[in-house]
Amino acid sequence: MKIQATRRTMLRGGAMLLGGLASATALRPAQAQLRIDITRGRVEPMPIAVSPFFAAQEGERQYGDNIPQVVADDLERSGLFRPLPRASFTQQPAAMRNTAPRFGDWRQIGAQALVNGGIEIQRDGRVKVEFRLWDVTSGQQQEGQVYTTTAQNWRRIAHIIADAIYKRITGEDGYFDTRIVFVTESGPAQRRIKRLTIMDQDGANVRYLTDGSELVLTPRFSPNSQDVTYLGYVSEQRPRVYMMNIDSGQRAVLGDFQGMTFAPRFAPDGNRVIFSVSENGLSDIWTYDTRSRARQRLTNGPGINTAPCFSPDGRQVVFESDRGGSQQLYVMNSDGSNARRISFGQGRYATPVWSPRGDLIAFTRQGDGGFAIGVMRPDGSQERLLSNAFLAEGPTWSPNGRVIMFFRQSGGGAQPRLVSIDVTGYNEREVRTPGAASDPAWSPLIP
Amino acid sequence: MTDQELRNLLRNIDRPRTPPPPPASPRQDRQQGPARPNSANVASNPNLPVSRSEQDAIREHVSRFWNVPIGARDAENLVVDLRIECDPDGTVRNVRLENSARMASDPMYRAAADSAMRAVRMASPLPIPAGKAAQFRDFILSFNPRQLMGLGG
Repeated sequence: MKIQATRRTMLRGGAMLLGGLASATALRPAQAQLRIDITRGRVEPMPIAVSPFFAAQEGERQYGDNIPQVVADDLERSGLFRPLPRASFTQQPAAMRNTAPRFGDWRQIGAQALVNGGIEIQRDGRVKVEFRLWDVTSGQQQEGQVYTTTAQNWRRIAHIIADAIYKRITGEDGYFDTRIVFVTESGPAQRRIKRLTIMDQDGANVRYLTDGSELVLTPRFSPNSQDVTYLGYVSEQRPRVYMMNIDSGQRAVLGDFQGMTFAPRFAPDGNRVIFSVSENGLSDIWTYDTRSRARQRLTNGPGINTAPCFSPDGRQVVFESDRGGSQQLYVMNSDGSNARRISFGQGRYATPVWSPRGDLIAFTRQGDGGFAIGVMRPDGSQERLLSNAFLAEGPTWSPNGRVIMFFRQSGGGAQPRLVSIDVTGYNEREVRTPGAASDPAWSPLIP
Repeated sequence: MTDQELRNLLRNIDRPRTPPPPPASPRQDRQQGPARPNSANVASNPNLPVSRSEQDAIREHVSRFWNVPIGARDAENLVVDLRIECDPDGTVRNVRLENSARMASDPMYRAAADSAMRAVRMASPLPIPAGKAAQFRDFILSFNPRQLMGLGG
């Protein structure tokens, strides 16, 4: 997808309530200065007003309405923001066009932050979108950008704006300009049709990558979001790991292995794929370099070693193994040395995934007649279970390491659904998909 | 919200807990106004110490307006010290960040500092004790999310 976005910070404008006063304040000696520690606070979504963007022409109005709506929806789903209803707004977009907003009005409705902007369709048909983020309590502009893009890219611009707001207010990178690849399921259980599917993280722009004539499982994104690797069963042959280019649809089998290959995942460098090779009832972990075609074996028994995932710095690999008698998580160096067990709770552990920010490993835990999704530190400490269900599997991280998506199925023949949950364990949401869905993988931020 | 509840912000369904109840709406509090003594009418004595309970009243009041930057990494490094200047009636006249250089280089710190400054502006006027306006003419509010994040200390 081509996006021609010119990003430039707009000149800072608006009222500078506090800046002016600060310079007039002389520093005084700080002897015996009173100091009060604030160690408690509220944890609730920040009330934010996302105003419709100003649009002078009829053809611009749809963007002026829809772009801020997508921005507000993104922010709301994060659980960290509470967009205020448009009906409560008392200042019109046109009234803020060339002047600072009336912050008193926005404070009155409880907003702490305000987003406004403008739309202009240029002569070449491209859409120019500008937005500003204001701190309503100080009256200061916190962010301002201008983007120009083709009309069909308007949703991406909205996600990029939501990411900029999220980053400015939380300090963390956003995750809205991303996509999800997953498996759409349909048909009866005996003849299940599974199609590789891609969509925006908010469920828009659904596209099928395979036609359903073959079984597909466990798709994973490459670091540049351009390729996916997955497990495919083509024409009754043994299952093999494939790699597919998302735009061209071209695909190829990875490596020429005698046994079945499965559980693929890209290395952070994007050049290698790590996966399992199964022969004679045992499975071991290998890497395969997609450029040089070099293969490297990382484990050599005992037992079943599978579900490998690199740490974001590429130095370590977490995987599941039954070498100790039960299925547990292990971490080893990326050359296969120094494997040590990190999971010690009740039940069996599976599908470990290292957080993109390196601080946690998400996993599936099975026991007590059900499944749970949890996280632990890479050394195995501070294990927490976030969500449980009859079936819950396959965690994947948002690129900022803040949200986990997985798929869940209730008992009694219910359809599998995608679910997202904040790493704190709150804000669990079902993800909008065109039908039954499983095996999600979250892309990095789109380049 | 108790300290214990806040330490448990990171949810673990292994040991089920009900999430902490949402605190009272600060907007309502603002309508009613904080318990504000008529300190402007009382002669200020700069030698009077500010008692523990008087500090607690300010701490309690400001806490209700502070939206904690939850989920932040390295919360132990996100202590934000604000230099506050108050009028005798508790109105916050000026808020300054003690370590403003970090604002430009550290987005996480900038977000934490913004959240603290928003809290102070929304919390104005502060319930400063009668007769002690001098002590609040220039003082420090230190916002420390460390204990809230369950990440230590």
